[in-house]
Amino acid sequence: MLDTSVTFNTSPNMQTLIESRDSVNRWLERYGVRFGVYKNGIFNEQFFPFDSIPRVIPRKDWDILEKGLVQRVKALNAFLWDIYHDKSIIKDGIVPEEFVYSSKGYMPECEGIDPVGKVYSHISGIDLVEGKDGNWFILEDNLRIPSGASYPMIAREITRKVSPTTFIDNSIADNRDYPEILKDMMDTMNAGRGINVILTPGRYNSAFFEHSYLAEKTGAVLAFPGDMTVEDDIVWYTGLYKEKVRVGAIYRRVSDEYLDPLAFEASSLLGVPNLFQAYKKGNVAVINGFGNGVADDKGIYYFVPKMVKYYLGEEPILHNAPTYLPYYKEDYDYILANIGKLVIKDVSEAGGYGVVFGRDLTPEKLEELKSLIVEQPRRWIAQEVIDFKDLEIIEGEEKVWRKADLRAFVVSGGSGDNGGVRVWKSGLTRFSRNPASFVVNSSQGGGFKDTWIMNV
Amino acid sequence: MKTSTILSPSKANSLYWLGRYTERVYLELHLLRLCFDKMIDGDPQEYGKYLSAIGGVSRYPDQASVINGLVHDLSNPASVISSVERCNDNAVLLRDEIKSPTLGYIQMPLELLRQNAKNGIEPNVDELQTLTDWMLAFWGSIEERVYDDRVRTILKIGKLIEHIDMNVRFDYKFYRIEEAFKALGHCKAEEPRAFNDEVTDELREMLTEEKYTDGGTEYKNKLLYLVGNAVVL
Repeated sequence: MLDTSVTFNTSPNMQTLIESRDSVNRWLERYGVRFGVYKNGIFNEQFFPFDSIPRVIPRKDWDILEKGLVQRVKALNAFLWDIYHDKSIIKDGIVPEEFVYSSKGYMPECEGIDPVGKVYSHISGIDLVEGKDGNWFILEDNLRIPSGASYPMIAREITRKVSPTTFIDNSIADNRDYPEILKDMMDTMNAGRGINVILTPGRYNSAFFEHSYLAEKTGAVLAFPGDMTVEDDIVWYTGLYKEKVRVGAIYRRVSDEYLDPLAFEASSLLGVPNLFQAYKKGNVAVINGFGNGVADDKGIYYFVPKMVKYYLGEEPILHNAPTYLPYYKEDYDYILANIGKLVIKDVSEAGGYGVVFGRDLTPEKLEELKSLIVEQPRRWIAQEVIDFKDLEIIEGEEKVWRKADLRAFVVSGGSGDNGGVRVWKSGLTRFSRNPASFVVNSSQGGGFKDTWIMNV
Repeated sequence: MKTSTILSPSKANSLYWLGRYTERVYLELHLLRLCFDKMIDGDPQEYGKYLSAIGGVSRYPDQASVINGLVHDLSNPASVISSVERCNDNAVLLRDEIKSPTLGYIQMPLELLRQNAKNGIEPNVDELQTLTDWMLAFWGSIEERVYDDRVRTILKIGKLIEHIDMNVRFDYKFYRIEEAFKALGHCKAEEPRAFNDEVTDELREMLTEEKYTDGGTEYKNKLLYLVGNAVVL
């Protein structure tokens, strides 16, 4: 694959953009582009540091990625439908049943439910890394509440203002259509011609900026806990003087377990009582659907390429990072023998937590980890460490190289071709600010870049 | 463009308080400039009158710390930074109603004040005037970008209530209060259910030039109480 980054980064029009980093960050500050972090029980809002050197993806590479992402998300949606209906993939021995039923994300309450349009994962955030050889690998699928699209969206809006010549001289796919893609999907999924809402847990959620910004840009109503009620299995949004309008689609940014206190976690103050009942009846689209956690479980990840073959009859276009499941004897033996060179992940953790590099552990700690794997093999997966491509960032006054990943956003359930599945021509490129770290999560101090998909 | 104009009670409440706090910041800046000016060659304890009118407590040992405290002291609820923080508390909940560029006119003062407070920069006239300009720009941006009549009206109700409250506290001339009360009447015609009729009727009776001019502390306190309870959002 063509490495265009060097060419772009040294050209005069790129230089203008790079030099405008402080200006971009001031604009981000002006628009209140923050994310919240809890540390020692205290909530703090931070700016998400932006680096002005974009990740550049040539069109021919993107075309492959796009096809691969559509394929993968179609297979994942087919899997979710199957798991909560026929379970043929289990019956046919492709995925062992214990991986499904012991997954924290599996929800027996969802058995037999037909969500609107039969879509479960409307917004899928697929995390990828590019290897030094130019091959892309899927790191994980996020099918519950993937966040992050708003950052490259607003960064593009700003960089176009501060460095217009860069965008005149380079033919870059416009990424400002994400709200239209989202709105189209919400309108298509909308049940009963109700309004679209984005349900936020509130200001102290880490992604509150994104919730409010997407509401602004899609024209959906930003709803807070307590704004909606369910009567006769219909969801209503209550206005100032108790007037009510029907809700047809809820892009919820609240986890499954907190979304309906009468069906799940009874102490939740974030949900809508009886929402699950309305969803079951098909009276409201819940975006993303309930029960998706079973498909983005780190243990299930291993089986996604098999799902592609099983449901679509196609060879997977995109590959997983080489992964081992201690559940299988062969993999179990390999992991215990090679633990020092592998990365071990706790399947129950997220956000970059529960990830351990064997090479960073002392012999004693490695032995402890081995014991944990022996005790609970289902709890862990192991992966080869991918020597993924570093990206240039500006640190102080100099350019340095840092690890980076890419979260691509795939929207399913919209109108149009390809079964209503669209890949947004952009994505969130996150980078580690720590030179020794592979962890890029914003909650752990990472920054972000714009992602340019070239038109030619 | 928003697909529905329905407004929840919590958003209406945030709009009302955003209207109040933006007006408070604007008037605080104006009054502080007057107060600081008087302190140059007049009574160095002038700030005490300001604090007493606004309901704050004197806690600063010298003139320099007074000026800094009234602008940058977050622990002082009567400071400008505290009022801007309260603006922000409400504004961030309303991004979809007021739009990001409008929110920017709250975010910019907030960041300026936070940075200056953090870096120990003494307040100066440039800072205060910049803050005033942003507050005016906030209202201009509302005019320019918010098309929902109800949103605009509720914001304006908050602004006018705060305007009357501050004018009463600082003994401004009656005509200013009368004008604001008349404007509030126009808002009431548009959004009648936002008001407590009984309280607004009582306010109307109390607001005559004669009563206002002759009224003592009891009258003023009653007036402030009624102003604070005229709206039921």
